Amino acid sequence: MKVRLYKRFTFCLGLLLVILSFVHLQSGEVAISYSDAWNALFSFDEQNQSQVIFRELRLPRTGIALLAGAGLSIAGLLMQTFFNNPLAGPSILGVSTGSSLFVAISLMSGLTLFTSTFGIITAAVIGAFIYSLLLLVFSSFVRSNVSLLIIGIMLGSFTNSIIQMIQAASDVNALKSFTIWGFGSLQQVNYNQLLPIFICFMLAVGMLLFLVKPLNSYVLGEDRAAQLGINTKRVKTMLIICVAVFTGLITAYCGPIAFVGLAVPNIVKLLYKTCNHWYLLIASALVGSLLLLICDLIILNLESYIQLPLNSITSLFGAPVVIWILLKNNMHAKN
Amino acid sequence: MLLRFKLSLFVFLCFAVLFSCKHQTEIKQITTLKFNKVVNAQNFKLIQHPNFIELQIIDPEKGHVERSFALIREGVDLGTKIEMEHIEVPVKGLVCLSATQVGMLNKLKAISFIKGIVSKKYVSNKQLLNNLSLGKVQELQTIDQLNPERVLSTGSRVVMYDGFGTIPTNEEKLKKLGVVCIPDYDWRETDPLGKAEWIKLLGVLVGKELLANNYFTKISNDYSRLKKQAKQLNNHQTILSGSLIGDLWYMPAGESFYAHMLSDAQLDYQEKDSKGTGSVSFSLEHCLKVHKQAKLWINPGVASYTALLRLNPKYQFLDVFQHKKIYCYSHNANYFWENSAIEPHHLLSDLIALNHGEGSIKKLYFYRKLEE
Amino acid sequence: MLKIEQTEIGHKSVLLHVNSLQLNPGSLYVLIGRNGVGKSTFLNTLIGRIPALVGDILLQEKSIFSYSKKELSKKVSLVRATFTGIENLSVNEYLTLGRIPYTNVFGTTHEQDILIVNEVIHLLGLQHLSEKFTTQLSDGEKQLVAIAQALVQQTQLVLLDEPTAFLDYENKWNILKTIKRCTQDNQLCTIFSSHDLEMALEIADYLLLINPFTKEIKQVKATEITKQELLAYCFPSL
Repeated sequence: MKVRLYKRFTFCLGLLLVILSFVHLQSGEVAISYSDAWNALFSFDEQNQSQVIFRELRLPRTGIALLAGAGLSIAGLLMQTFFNNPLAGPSILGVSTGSSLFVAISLMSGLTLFTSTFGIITAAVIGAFIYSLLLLVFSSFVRSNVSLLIIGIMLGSFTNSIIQMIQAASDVNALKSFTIWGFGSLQQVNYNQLLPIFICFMLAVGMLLFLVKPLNSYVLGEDRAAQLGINTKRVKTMLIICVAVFTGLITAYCGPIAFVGLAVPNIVKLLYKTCNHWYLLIASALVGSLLLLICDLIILNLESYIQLPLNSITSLFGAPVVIWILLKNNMHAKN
Repeated sequence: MLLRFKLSLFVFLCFAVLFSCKHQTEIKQITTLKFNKVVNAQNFKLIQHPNFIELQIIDPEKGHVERSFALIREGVDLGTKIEMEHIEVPVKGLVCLSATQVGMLNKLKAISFIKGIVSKKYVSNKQLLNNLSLGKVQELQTIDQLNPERVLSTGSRVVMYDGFGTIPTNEEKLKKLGVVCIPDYDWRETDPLGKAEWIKLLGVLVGKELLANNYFTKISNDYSRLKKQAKQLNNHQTILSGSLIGDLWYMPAGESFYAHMLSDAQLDYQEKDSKGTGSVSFSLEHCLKVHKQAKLWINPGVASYTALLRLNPKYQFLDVFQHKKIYCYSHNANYFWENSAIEPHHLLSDLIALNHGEGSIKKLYFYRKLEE
Repeated sequence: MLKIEQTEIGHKSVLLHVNSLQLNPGSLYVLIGRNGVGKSTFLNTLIGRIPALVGDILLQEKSIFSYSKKELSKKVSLVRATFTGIENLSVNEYLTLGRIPYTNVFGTTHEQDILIVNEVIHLLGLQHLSEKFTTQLSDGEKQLVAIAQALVQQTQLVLLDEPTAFLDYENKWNILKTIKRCTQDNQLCTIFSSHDLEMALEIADYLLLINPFTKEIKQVKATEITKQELLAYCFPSL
């Protein structure tokens, strides 16, 4: 009974996502015909303005919005389950910032190897991995959810100040490309990067399939999970790799996007009221993509009046979610 | 041309006579109002009073007088008290927080007046660099970041900075220390000659108003002549300017200084009808729609094609990227910022040359083709 | 089924010493000792989390340290003192998680698993709770559900770490009776730790007593010892 309801609801979310993706692809200054859209993919003519716009601007933007929303939300869910803390998320606990730091270092280094696309992704993923590990170490010392949150925020501020120092000491051109990158944007991806990103993304999703069972058991606590025969050491490693790939990959291309990873899993848990990670993961991916698409649609539609940065909108709904969780937890504790 | 020269010579002679007549009574008074009359610039005025010159800085947004200063020749007794900040001219030294001021002082052979600048990173002038290495000039950072005490130590009592409409906190502090700050709105001038005319203010400050006036007259004549030539040649290439910063492409607004320059060079700039005197921003999609076929591209912000592609590979979908007609000043950006404002005739000459294609380009003052 | 001989137990230093213990299915063992004497360490050793310092522990003729994690999870389960409930997790889902050792790598549950869960629900009379969220249960219900999960896990060796410590009188006896019944019906070997002496004497088949000075664990039949003797052995400083 309940299962059928979940499936229907998830299907509706998926349908809504498909519709909004098409709306998103259609949004912009230039009207693009279906035939141009089709040709842009299968018989691309570089001289045709509409085709160029569709293939090089619209498609990457919609694509990365979908991937970024899904990736960050999944990373957030993984962290929340793993740290057993509804306030965890890649941006708020400083994992995105760690990623940024490593991107900054590699961009400022000026070495071709490091400033290439491959170099930047690698740096971003390594940064996210190291910061997840750091969090893991810290989390073993603190018991309270809020303490971990504060540690994460401090870690982020600390890292930001290092980034600022690097910026102060670096040359103007490198600085330019990095500060821009820091705003959070869905427009820095190219058509030919879309496939490699998608492949990396799917590899992480593949790994995720093997994490569903451990995640479900982690709901009972790491100790009980181990008793139920889960290899916690291996799961930890896989989990951190997954979080690092999702966060790093997205951060490398879109900059640090705030709050999506934190807010979406909480919204999904509220909607689904389950701990089954099959549903939670799929729904988080769907809702995350939906949310980022909606945010970007708002930006696109307001473009002629005001140009808004992506993070201003994601924070607008993300920050209230944090407050809501804190209030809810406090009331829970009082009762 | 010749007539104008004769006329100015005549005026000059008249004044010289006038000067020598009054020499005995008003020896220390500034009597060069005619030289100082501001024609093209909108954002400052010089007004002659009996024994001082009033400098009015005008708010570019609202058009009213934002600040007034009394420029008083050393030793002159004003008699009555005036409710303005006083500046004794010629000044002992200047802190110049804008590169255009360096260019102007260079034309006035007054680089030695400079006691402080933002940073060595933005300097092109050799003499200034030399003074920097000799320790005669301090690096102070921008008006918001500088340390007022270090300004005092330079010995200069006048600071010129790029105005932004609000009074920086440091200005209040500096005022208490006896340092006068003059906001410089040359960058907000929309007339192609308006920026250059600020040299007249600097001329008064360093006591070289005659030289400043002569220089300005010369370049306005050159500018008019070039503008006329361009009109006769009647060539109109489409042109695109600026670059993406983040997700937005910033271009000169229709009423801006740069848009006027482009139109004076007879270039066809598609955003010439946009409102505003600063810059306008567009999405990349808009640029691909409107500017895909543009024949020329200036000011992309980098000096090579590789750097351009690294900033954003999507640039390659502009036709101009394939034609390789992209020009920039970035190979020598500091030189550009120091001199373009005070050499509008050279800037115009560059743009006209670009309008007429490779064959006609004999000498480019500021621009250069992007490197591979 | 559980055999321990000449074994020393502890984290780094020796906490407990076992000369010889032989535990059999169908019996309820109560572990008694002073606070901090090492009851939890003993239980943690029995589920293989803490290695024995000297000697070995044989579970069904095989060292528990040679079992893989997965194999062991089908043999031993441990219920902790408190279960506080988990948000958004229904009792039914919670119990189903007890089947994790038996599911494939994706955690798919089969009809067999659902049958077992339902069986346990009936056995403990949890029908009215099965759709509730674990956070909505009373303390007694929570503990009952935690024990139910161990039963769903279908291990023959069931360890309970002070399962009644935070319960009132009525709930305590309910839980104990349930434990006793399941032990006999399913031929389990159940060990639970406690410092409630009267309760231990009444319910246990055997007592495992820890002397705080000799650090030795001694096994006695519950019917063959009086409360005074018990006190003298486990709490000699009284």
